[in-house]
Amino acid sequence: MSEAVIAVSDLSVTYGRGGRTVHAVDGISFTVSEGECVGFIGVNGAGKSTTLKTLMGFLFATSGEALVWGQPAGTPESRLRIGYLPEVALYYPFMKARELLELYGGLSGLDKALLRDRIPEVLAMVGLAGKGEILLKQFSKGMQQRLGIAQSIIAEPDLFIFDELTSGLDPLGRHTLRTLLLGLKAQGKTIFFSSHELVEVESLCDRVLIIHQGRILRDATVAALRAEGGTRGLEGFFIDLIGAAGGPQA
Amino acid sequence: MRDGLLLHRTAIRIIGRGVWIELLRRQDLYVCGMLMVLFLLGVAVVRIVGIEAPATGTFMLNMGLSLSTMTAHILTLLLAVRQFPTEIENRTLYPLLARPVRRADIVLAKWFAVGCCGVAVYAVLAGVAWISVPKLEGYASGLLLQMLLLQLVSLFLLSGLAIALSLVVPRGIALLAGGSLYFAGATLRRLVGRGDGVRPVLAAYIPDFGMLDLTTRYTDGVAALSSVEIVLLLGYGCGLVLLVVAFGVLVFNGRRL
Repeated sequence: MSEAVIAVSDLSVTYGRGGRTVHAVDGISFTVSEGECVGFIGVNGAGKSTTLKTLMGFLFATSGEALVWGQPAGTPESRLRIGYLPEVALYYPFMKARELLELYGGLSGLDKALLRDRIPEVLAMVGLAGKGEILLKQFSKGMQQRLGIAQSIIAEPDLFIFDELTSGLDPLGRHTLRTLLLGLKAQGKTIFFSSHELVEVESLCDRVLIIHQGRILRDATVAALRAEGGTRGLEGFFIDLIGAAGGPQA
Repeated sequence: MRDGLLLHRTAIRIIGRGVWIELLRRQDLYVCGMLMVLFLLGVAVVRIVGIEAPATGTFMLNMGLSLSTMTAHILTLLLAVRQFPTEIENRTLYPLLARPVRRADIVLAKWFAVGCCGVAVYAVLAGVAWISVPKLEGYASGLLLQMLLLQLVSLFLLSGLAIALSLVVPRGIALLAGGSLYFAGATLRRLVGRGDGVRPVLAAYIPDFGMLDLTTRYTDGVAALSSVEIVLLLGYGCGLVLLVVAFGVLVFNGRRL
């Protein structure tokens, strides 16, 4: 765990909404090192998705800097080794699961021969074995989310960025995902994800970043936060911290 | 791959395949097919009754080719205006942009793929119309080629225009604006161009799709355009294509998603 895979320095993202300026992210700094699994937690509207979208280049920084693999966030070069999962996407209803993975895999530089072997393998990993020839309009929300995970791992990237990781997944789906992530972690992959499921975060992550009103409130290891939370664990610590910061609506 | 990044044409081919699958699996194509079947039924009836007057054949040919032109353009417009709004709405643009591709490549891929879909539909429909109608009058084959070439430019222009519009205004408005420009570009141009100052300059940028449609000229049996005329028309169409595609790329490059 040495090289900073993600390096964010004094990052601010501001935009106008209804005639007023919103500071979605307000001067945050953090790093994620190679091989780390870092959870990014906060209440709704805290700035999690904005930060992740800025790392991916979907949004632009108003000031500060975000580097991914040493490259400015959002450049095609920075996205060479990233697997990204958006918060609940509805994939093309007219496509089959195989065709979707061919599309995303192809854009990640995988050739047809490799994709032929890789697609059934990835579908099996996310619990969609044998579903490659089904049109996506027939997929449930949970199946769509599993497919989303499949598209993020298809090219075997070294960094995973997941926005609302377990969103839309049933308990079985969550179990499959947890097993998958633990496998990726064991392979030394870097994982950075946002989630509202603090139990998932606690069981998977090495470190946690807590964001509130666009600012990082805490950056500490899970063990340290768990100790501070006492018997109530990470969840207890999180609730107390947000309460002390004025609550979700502050 | 070059330095790990996808070559432009590879990205364009892969994204284009997605648009092609969309065209083949959505219902719009079947509506086009039904329209053409109706036309063919009409031709069959006329053939059974017997075409005696050459003008009837010309009328049928004009109707078939015009129907092909209009149908291909409407389909192109419908396909183009939903590309980016749907991707944004369903959040499928995120996994697409998470790949090592340039934003410009995604716009170029969508534009090119939608244009190709329009051309393919036009080629099939116009081909069926041209083959099925008996030609009782002389038509300039040179003009036929010129007509097809300009239709190709026209379809790529509408694809670029609709995509650019859909990046700046909601899908419904883009559809309305694109449709108005396609059906009434010349009228809008005249209206905007009236008066002094900046208006005539603005009017020059309003595309006139009628200028790129030689269908009636062809079926009227008029001679082919001169080399200078066709080069000027191609230059006009291609210039507008470049303009709308560059605008689309510019808008998408700076857009927060």
